[in-house]
Amino acid sequence: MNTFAIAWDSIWHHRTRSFLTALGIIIGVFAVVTLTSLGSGVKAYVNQKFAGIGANLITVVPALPSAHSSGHGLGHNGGGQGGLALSGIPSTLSLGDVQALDHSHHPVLQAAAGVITVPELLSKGSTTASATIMGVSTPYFSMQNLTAAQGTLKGTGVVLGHNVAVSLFGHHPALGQTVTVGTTPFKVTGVLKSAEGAPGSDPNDTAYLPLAQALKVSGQTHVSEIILAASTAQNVPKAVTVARHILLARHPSHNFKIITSQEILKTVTSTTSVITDFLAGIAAISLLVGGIGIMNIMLVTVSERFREIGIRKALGARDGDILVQFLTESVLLALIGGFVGTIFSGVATHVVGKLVGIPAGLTVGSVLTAVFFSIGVGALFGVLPAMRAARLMPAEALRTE
Amino acid sequence: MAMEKSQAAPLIEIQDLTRRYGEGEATVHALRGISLTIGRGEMVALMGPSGSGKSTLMNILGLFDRPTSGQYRLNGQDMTRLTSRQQAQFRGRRIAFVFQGIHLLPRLTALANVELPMAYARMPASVRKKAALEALERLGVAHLKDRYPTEMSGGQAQRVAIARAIAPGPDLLLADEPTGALDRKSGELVLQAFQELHDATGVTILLVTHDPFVAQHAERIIALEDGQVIDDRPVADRLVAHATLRSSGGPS
Repeated sequence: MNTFAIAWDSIWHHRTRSFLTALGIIIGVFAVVTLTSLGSGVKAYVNQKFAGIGANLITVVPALPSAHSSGHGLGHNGGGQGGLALSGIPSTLSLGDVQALDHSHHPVLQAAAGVITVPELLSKGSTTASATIMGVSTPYFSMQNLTAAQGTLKGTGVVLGHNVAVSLFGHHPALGQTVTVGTTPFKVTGVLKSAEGAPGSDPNDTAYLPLAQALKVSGQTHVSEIILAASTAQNVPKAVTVARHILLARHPSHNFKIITSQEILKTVTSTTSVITDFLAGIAAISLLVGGIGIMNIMLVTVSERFREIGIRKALGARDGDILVQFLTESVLLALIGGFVGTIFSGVATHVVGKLVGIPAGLTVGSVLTAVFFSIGVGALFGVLPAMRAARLMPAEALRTE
Repeated sequence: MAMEKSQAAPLIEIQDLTRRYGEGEATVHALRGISLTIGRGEMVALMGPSGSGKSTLMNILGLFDRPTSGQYRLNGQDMTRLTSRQQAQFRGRRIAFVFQGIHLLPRLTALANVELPMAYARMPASVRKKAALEALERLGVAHLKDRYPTEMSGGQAQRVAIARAIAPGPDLLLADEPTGALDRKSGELVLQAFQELHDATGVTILLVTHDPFVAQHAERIIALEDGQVIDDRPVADRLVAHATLRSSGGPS
C-alpha cells in the first residue's frame, strides 16, 4: 500500500481545507523558527563582539571583604563619584595595585591597566561635548584594540574618541588644540580611529586622560577597576591565579573580585538564551493551536470517510493499516505547514538580520526544530482521530451513507 | 444435492447463535438462536424482511460483528475467539464481500480496487496484479481496468466489485443485496455473473436479499423472520440469468 500517495491524494483533494489547516502550522513554525533563529543571531553577534575586544581580558573590581558579592562589573564607564565602583562599593584598588600587576613579569600576565571614570565635563571654550571622560593607563588602548588616527596614545594630554573630536573640532585637526576637563586645561595629544566598542561603552564618545592625571583632576585616590590582559585566552585561568596571588598580598581582606570576559560572555549568552527560549515557548503556543486545528480537521476527515474506512476494513485492512494511513495524512499535513513556515521564516530572519545588523538566518538547529515540531505536532494531534478511525467497526462504518 | 455436500464438508457451522443490542427494556433481540450449516460450494440465498436479522447474521458471518452467544465455525475453526487482527486477516481474503452500494474506492482505478484486498494481505505486487487481471477478465470487465469508478456504469462497477471479491480466491462470498442499487437488466447481469462464478469455481456464495426473484437464482433459500429461521429448503425451479444479455456487451 502506498500510504504516502493516499495521504497526499486526500490532502490535495481538499486543497482549501488542507491549506487552512496547514496555515496554523505555518504560523506556529514561522514564529518558533524565526525567534530561535534571531536569538541565535543575537548570540552570535554578542560572541563576535566579545571576541573583538579580546577573550583574554580579566577585570578586577572592588568587593566587600571576603564577600562573594554579585558585582556586575560590566563596562568601564560608570566608575562613579569618589572611586565608587559600579557595585557601589568604595574602591580600595590603588595605582600601586595597577603597577604591581603590570610589573609582575609573569609570562601569562601581559599587562594591567587601571580605569576610573572622571565625573567632569569636557569642553572647548563655550562648547561642551557629550563625552564620557575616563582615566586609563596606556595598555588600556591596546587591550581594547583602540588605535590612534592622529598623534600618540602615550602622550601626557587627552586622547579623544572619534565622535568627540568631530563634535568639538569638526573637520579641523584636533591635535595640539586645548580642551578643558572640568576646569583643568589639557592638550589634545591623540585622536582615536573610529572603533566599535564592547556592549555598554562606545570609545567614539569617550575622552581618555592618563590615569595619574585623571586621579588628580577628579580628586580620587583609587581606581574603579583594573583590567588585565592574559597572554592568550587559554592562559586566562592561570593569569587569574597569578593576579589573585599578587592582590592578596596587598589586600589580605580579599576586598576585590576577579571577573573574566568569558564569565561576562557566559552571563550575557545565558541571558539571551533564556529570553530566546521564553519567546520561543510563547511562539510554541501558536504551534499548539495549529496542532489542535489539525486534530479538528482530521476528526472531520475520519467521519467523512467512515464509508471508505469500512470498505478498507471489509477488504482486510487491519486496525494498524488504518491508523498508519490517517497518521501519515496528519503528519504530512503538518510537515507541509512546517516546510512553508520555515521558508517564510528564512526570508523574515534574513531581512530582520539585515535591518538590525546581526548575522541572522536559518540555522541547521532551527530547521531541525521546525521538522521535529511539525512531525511531533502532526503525530500528537493525529493520533486521536487516527485511533478513532482504526477502532471503527466495519459494520458501523458501512452503515453510514 | 446441496445437503449432501454440506454433510461431507461443512464450510459454515452455526449453533444457537444469538445477538442482542442494548440493555434492559431497550434490548433488541436481533438473532434468537439460529443454527444452520452451509456446505462448501453451495449457493444460498438468505431471505427475510427488514428487521428479520439477516443483516446481523451477515455481519457476524463476515466477522464485522460478534455474537452475544453461540457458536460460529468456518472450516471447523472457531471464529468467535479471533482477535480483531486475526479477523482482519480473514476479511477480504477468506471471506469476501459484495455490497448493495457500489463500494469501490472512488479515487482508485478498477485494477487498484481489485488489488486492494491482496495488498492488505501483503501479497507481492506481481502476484496480486496477475490475480486481479484474471478476476477482471472472468467478470468481463478487463477493458475497464484503468478506469475510475465514476467512469463506469452501475453494472460495470458492481462487476468490478465482484472481481475484487473473488480475486484473492475466498472460501466464502457474502453478497448483501448485490442488485439492490441496479436496474433490472444490470441486476440480471450481476446475478448471471454470480452463477457463472459459482459454476466455474465452486466458491460458496451467500446472497442476502429481500427479493424472491433474486433468491430464486440460488440453490437453497434460508428464510429468516424475527431473528429465527422459519424456512430452509432447496430451490425447486432455479432461475438461470439470461445468458443473451452477456453477449450484447453489457449495460451502458
